[in-house]
Amino acid sequence: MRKLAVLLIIALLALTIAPLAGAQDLAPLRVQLQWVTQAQFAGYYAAQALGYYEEAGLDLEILPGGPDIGPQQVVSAGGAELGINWVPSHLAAAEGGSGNVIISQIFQRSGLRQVTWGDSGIESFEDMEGKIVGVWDFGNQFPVFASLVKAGIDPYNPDDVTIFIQPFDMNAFLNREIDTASAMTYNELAQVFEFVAEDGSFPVYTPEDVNIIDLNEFGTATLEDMVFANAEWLAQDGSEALATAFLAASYRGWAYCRDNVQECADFVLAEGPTLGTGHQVWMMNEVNKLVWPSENGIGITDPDLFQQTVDIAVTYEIISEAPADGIWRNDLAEAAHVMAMEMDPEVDLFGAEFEAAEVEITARGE
Amino acid sequence: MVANAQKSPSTPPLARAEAPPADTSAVRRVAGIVALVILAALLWEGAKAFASSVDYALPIAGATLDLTVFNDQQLPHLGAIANAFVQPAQRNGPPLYSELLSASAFTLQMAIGGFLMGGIIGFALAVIFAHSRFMQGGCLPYVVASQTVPILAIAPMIVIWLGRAGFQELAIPVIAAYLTFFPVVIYSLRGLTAVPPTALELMNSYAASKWETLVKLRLPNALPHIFTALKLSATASVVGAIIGELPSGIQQGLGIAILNFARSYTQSPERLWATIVMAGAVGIGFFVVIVILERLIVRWKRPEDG
Amino acid sequence: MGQKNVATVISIKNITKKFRGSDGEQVHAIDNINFDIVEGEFISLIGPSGCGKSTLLRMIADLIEPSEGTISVNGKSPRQARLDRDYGFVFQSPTLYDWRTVLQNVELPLEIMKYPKAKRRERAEEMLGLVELGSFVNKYPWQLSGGMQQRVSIARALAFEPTILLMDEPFGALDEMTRERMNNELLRIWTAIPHMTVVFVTHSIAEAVYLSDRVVVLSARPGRLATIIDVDLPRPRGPETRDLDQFFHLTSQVRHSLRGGVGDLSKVIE
Repeated sequence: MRKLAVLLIIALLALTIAPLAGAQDLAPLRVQLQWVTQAQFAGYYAAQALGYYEEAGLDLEILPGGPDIGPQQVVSAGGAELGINWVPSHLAAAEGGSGNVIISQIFQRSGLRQVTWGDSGIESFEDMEGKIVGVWDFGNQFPVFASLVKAGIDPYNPDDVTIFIQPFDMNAFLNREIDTASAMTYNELAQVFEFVAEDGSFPVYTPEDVNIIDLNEFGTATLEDMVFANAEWLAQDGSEALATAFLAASYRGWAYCRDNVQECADFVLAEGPTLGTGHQVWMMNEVNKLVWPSENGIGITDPDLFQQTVDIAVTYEIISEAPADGIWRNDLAEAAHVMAMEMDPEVDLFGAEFEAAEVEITARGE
Repeated sequence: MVANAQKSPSTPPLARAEAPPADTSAVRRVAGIVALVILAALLWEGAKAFASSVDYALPIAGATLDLTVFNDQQLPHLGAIANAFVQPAQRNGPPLYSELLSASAFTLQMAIGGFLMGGIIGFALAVIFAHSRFMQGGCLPYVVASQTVPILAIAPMIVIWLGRAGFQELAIPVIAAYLTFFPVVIYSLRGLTAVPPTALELMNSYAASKWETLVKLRLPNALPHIFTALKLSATASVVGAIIGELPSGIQQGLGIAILNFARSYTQSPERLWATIVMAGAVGIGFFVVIVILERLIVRWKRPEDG
Repeated sequence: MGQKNVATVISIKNITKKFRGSDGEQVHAIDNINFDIVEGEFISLIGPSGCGKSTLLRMIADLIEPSEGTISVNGKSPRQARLDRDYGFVFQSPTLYDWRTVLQNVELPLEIMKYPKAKRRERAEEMLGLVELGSFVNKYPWQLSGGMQQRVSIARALAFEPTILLMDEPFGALDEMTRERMNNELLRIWTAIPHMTVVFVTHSIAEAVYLSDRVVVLSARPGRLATIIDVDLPRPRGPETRDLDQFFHLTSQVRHSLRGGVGDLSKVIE
């Protein structure tokens, strides 16, 4: 009897220790997203689901964000080693002493668009003089302001233009209370097309019904999703290797999503059961367009685009002066390229041949 | 009386007088609740029908009252909300109600954690305050002041601090507890101190110790007050858990469901409403559990006290 | 009560009580009171409201302390008497604990005094039998009338067999009929427990005379000892006692003492 009990205890101990032993080989690492789980972050979820992080020796925890979560604050405070955020927010936090550093620019171009109705005759920023222009708050208005200024319109002069602070939804635009609205290609823009009329008819609006003004083409876009790290943590022994491993696995995840839109949307949907399927597939496809093609390879920061972002940030007093050198670095991204190709020699980190898929708009994004 | 009943099966007057009234009051109570729900539903649909009949614009004294809040976009039909429950939450996925049930289970779990934490801390503070005028004078103002700080402002900090300390899973219960401990402190303190002077003198006349006075007098005297607080805390803990989920980045509770559906409100408002109904049901359910517990524990109250 | 032992149980010497009122003014509640209470005696304290009769009772019980003077209870300080559980106290309001049944209320002092469980129950049931509430043991206080509640409170005060019963206007809140019935109950209980001393505070002259061996009359604020009136009505007393001329004379005597004309009128009555 006693022997049996001892054996049982040993067996139980072995069972509890076994998974720990497995996990001990993996280095724990946390990444803080800037918003809730959605296809905007599909590359990370894909790398997680496909085991790329584990392969790279990481026990990665993805921390979804939310309305009250500032990734810069979380990473500064040590709540996560890495974070995903837009560059202007990073600049502002850095000037406030966050001590965070950008290590990889994932989105090569901005997803911010200014949309107008096709029948309004507003086809450029120049046409917005005297109109009601919807923008978002909290610093997201500045790329649009920069565009208006470039078009000769003073956003701070009510005689030139009426600025309207948009809520989360596109109702004001759909109800034609405003002439033009800010929209991210991968989110709010889809909401216009996903709209279902009260009588249930769908589609009400198609891409032909709207003009989509691209701030990238106008030269006033600011850089968005990038990976940043807590500099203090990064300076510790071994941290750079971990950061590099994270980037390498994430690049492989993004490359996978480029080629497998539906599957990557499913990875995200599995993590967010209240998200609309159609909307996430659309988002996945649109996000791919922001990452690919990557001229210098995924994750490499383009100094000119970074400077453009800094200029807008300085002009609109997001920051008082340009940040010192070293706020961003490419060496880890470059090392990650090498690592990613060692892990998977077939991986394409440039996507030069990338062509976006055609994604069907679904009613209500369902 | 029992012997009487056995002797004369022709219903002893006392036994008869005692049993049935309880039944009718329960029936009447349920009927009252049902009537209230029906009334609310009629108001909801009536307001919508009226607003629709005047084309969502009601001219009053020269001005026009905008009634678009009653349109199907802002205030979906109750049928549409009910239907949203059984529709799949995701294409080819399980119906919304099953997702909401599992989200509710998570949120309720967090809420119960916060409820217990807040209840225990609140009660402990009340006991300390009841026994130390110095502590009460020194600390109670801070307890009151704590409630003037918006929970939304400190919730992210709680998440970060606890995350740093390695207790991130405690963040939501702690945020919920922040909302729940306050009523428990105030009501328990009142219950523990608002003891009739002669009841205390009685204990003194027996040369009872402080501990005996606490356990045999102050505590039971405080129980009805404590239950009043717990009823408030039960619903507040659900609100606290939902608020706490947002800065915690929790993806499996009601908080994220509300957030996601709020962001796609334009597309499907009835899903947000369905989630709100669910959150309300969780809060009410928790409240009812406390009411039942109160009935079981505070048995000495006369029926008309409720 | 001549056959009873004349050992002094409670001795009140030079008792004065001053306290600070809510307005900050010092209130002189009791001024230099002296008297003794002997074993087995039923003694009433009567006086106009504000004369400090309840205060005096609470000082005997060590629920408050005198400013000057000394009290001894069973030859000890009131504090020691309280710690020794020498007395039972009955308040004007029954002061039953709502959350306890009738039986549990009577068991309360026994729990605190660490009586064994079986003994507790036995004593409580015995005492409830004595106050004729044996069939109400499992009721909650709200299910009882005011008079019944006060009987429970008496049973509770007697449960741990104290030798002294201190009663603070226990029947003051009851209607006249109930009060008279309760008076008879109390006398029956007092007679049933040998050598028990009762100190009874009341504002009812008839009650004081009907119950007591002696009536201590206090004058208004500051409370001073006006007189002590011996009540030599025959015992056992009953409804017929109230019809005696002697009863009438004694109540008149107390009434006149209360008005302050002590000497003259007492002569007239005698």
